[in-house]
Amino acid sequence: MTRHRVTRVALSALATPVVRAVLVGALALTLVPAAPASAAQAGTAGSNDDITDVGGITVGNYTNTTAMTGTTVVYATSRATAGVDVRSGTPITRETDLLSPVNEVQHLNAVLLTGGGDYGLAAGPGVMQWLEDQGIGYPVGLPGTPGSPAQVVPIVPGAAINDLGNGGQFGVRPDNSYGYNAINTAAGGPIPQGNVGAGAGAIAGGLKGGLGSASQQVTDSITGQSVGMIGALVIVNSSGTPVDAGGGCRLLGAEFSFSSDLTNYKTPPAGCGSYVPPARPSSGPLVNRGGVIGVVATDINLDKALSQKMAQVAQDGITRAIDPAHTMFDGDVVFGLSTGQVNPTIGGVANVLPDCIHQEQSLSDIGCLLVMNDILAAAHDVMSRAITHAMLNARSAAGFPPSYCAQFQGACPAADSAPPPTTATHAAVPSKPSLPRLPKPPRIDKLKPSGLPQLPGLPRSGPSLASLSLVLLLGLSLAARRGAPRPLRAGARRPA
Amino acid sequence: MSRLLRGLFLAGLLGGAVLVAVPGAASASAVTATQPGCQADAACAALVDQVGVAAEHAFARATAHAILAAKTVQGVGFTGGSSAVTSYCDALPGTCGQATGGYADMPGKTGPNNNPTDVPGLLAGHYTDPNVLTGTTAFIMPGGATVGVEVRGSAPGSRETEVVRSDQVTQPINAVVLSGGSAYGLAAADGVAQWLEQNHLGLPLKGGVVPIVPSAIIFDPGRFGPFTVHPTAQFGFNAATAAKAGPLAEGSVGAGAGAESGGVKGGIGFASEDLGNGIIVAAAADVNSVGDVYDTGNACILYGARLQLAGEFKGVRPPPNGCTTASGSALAVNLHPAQPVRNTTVGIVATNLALDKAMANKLAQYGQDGMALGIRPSHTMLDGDTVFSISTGTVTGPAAVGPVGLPNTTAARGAGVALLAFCGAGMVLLLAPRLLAALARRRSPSSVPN
Repeated sequence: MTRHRVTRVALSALATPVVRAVLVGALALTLVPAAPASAAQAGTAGSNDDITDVGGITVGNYTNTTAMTGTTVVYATSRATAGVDVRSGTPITRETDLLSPVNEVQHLNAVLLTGGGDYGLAAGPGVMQWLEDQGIGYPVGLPGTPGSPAQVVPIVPGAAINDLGNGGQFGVRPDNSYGYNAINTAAGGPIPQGNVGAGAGAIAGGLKGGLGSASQQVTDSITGQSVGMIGALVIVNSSGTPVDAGGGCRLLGAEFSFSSDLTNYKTPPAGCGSYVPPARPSSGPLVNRGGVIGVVATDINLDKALSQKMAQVAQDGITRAIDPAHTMFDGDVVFGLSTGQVNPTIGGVANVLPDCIHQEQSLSDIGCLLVMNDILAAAHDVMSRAITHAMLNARSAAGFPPSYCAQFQGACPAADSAPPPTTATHAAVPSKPSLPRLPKPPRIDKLKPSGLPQLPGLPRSGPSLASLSLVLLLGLSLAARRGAPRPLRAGARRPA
Repeated sequence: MSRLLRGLFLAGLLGGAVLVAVPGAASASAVTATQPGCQADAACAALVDQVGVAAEHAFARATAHAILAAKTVQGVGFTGGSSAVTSYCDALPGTCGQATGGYADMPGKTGPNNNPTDVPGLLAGHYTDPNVLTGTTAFIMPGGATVGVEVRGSAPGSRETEVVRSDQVTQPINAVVLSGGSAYGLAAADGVAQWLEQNHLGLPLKGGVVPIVPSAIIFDPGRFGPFTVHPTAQFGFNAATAAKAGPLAEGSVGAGAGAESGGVKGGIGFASEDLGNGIIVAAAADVNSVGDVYDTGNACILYGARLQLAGEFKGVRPPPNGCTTASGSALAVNLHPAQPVRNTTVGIVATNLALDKAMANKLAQYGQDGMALGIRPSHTMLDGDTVFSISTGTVTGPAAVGPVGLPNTTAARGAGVALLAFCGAGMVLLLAPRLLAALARRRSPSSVPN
């Protein structure tokens, strides 16, 4: 009996999920040479190893630590060219259409990432208000004067995760004050990770999810020279699991990580233990139950189309780090941002990458296309690494499943304990932070109709064409009958 | 006589009314072909999800099958192309054809042939050029299928992809074609259309049928032979003629003949999974990628083989010497080959579960995630990665998954309308003279007998 047949027999005999997970994990450990914990990809992280290493990017968070929800803003201080890739069954988004390369607006000012599900999109206007106060946005009218900010429309695309009820409080969710406060605190790194901002209420495959970020140099793989910086920030909240449940429950994203990401990180010494990935959803309403939302940003000068391409390949980094990703139950959304500060030197010349690529170069002068490929490969890896960081920084919290580090003792550099009992006492909702200035909307009962013009009177409806023609037909037939009575058809009664 | 006719027409009118009304009521609960499926229905979404994840894994497994079946190409001595490419198995000695130390199984079982023809209603055939490594693979669905597509590479070569997107009119599709030859190779689909026409398969129109043949190509011109040799319509016709259900050759055949992946010989590979509930899911991957199908950061193990079902990669084990090749050098990441050319991985994912167009397009997305699992990196600027999904619809799930029963509903309603029209006209013809006569009697006293 071959070994895999043993596996199959054992699997059919011991069908409980727990036994199956342990068995598969154990077999994987014995049959496949387990990746040593030191196995890591080559590459150089930025100084903070987060998205703020990309020139022109700052990050702000507002976290409600009682209700465990919050908002994160990725702020492009001098705007950014952007694209988006949505690849899931239940996305929650705003302002994604204007990012299409065929549409006019070329730059965004900030990206909103928030908890609160569809309700949480309410944080967006708060971000817009802060930007408007600074006179930052798409110019649509008068320039700013002292005491009167410029007439602008801030461009703030965003996405939300559904953390409603995670941690026990369905009714508390981000509103515009969260957005305002998040961007108001935006700063350079190193940024906090784990249970902060939009990551506060995140759950990933039965483990506490969170916010993660990473950065790395983009290396021209022909010359070996760095051509720019790329960074990712991600909220890990997925219906799929971030661990290799068939391979000792090592973090899936670890495979694409640098040794600096994995300092003191070990494949869980006790394997998967009691961990079983949650069963796939099978009933109830079809709502967003997970969603990895994030940003991948580079300082290399890209246009909207190439930014979207970068976001698309960064989604592949999610595919690698979450099993499965992009399902009917997830709302996976990635924004791609280019702050445009760097035109990479290729063949001794600084190249505007989009122009260079769109020239349809000859085979011998394909360098720009290859550098773009290097950016894409880095986008993939930096996203996987950011997911690894999120899982390693997430911490157990009341009302949540345990964190990765609490579930798999001995795996993480910083130990975490199992969460407190889930009978969380729901503390009173904290008073919301106040906004400096929120214009009051006009009261609806004071809005008077501005004198609608009277509609011109319709002509009185006359007899319809059908009834007219019917009368005509009847009249004709009667007239014909009266004028010249013809013999009726056989079978009809003849007048006596 | 007239009384009998009147009775018959009356019965016809009643029957017609029933035929029109009842299927109408039934179709209110079913999803029509123009609506997206799975609206607010988690059970339906769960089924799509189950099939989608299986398709994702099947595609990744197919990439491993492709690379394992591919054969080393020795120098072929023509000018202007690459002369020799080594296969993964030959490059890493001690990896293939081994008695012990294979990959671990995931739970699940393959279909009997572990290829797309395990899906009822799906046939497949190859044609390979006898002189130059290029060719065509055709997937034929004689009973028609719902097809979706996901293009995620930046250099695609394709035809009839627009008509299979979610927002277009539903058409039954009878074939999907994969080919070598770059954009020239799209000509092979013409030959498949010709074959379908000869077999009266296609969109029925007055005077004949119009076969709709979506197709995608890989870049292989000039790689193993003269640049000017590429698949023609004859290739497609021959591949369609060869289409059958059952075992199917893998590796350097059909559309995979001229494929190259990363630094090793590419090819076409297949996989299937029997979900045990009557649903079969399968994939075909024509691997011709910029990226690698093995993990250069982890001993060059095959990504797809880690998803093995039921010992399907028997005899294959993780390379004992890691990425060190027979010549002692490292199996390099081939992101920048010395002569950079275009690549592209194309393929299909298929199931017998009835899906509407929106869900078929979603299934193609899952297939693309399988490509991302099996090849790293995928979807680059030099790839035209395209995945078609095929739903033959021989198994139906919850009504909302697809237009289940809709054709019957339409037919019944059509019959009802025809019956109503015929019997109504008959009734009018029968009764009109009597009505006219009665009217004439009342209105015209002169015609009333004294």
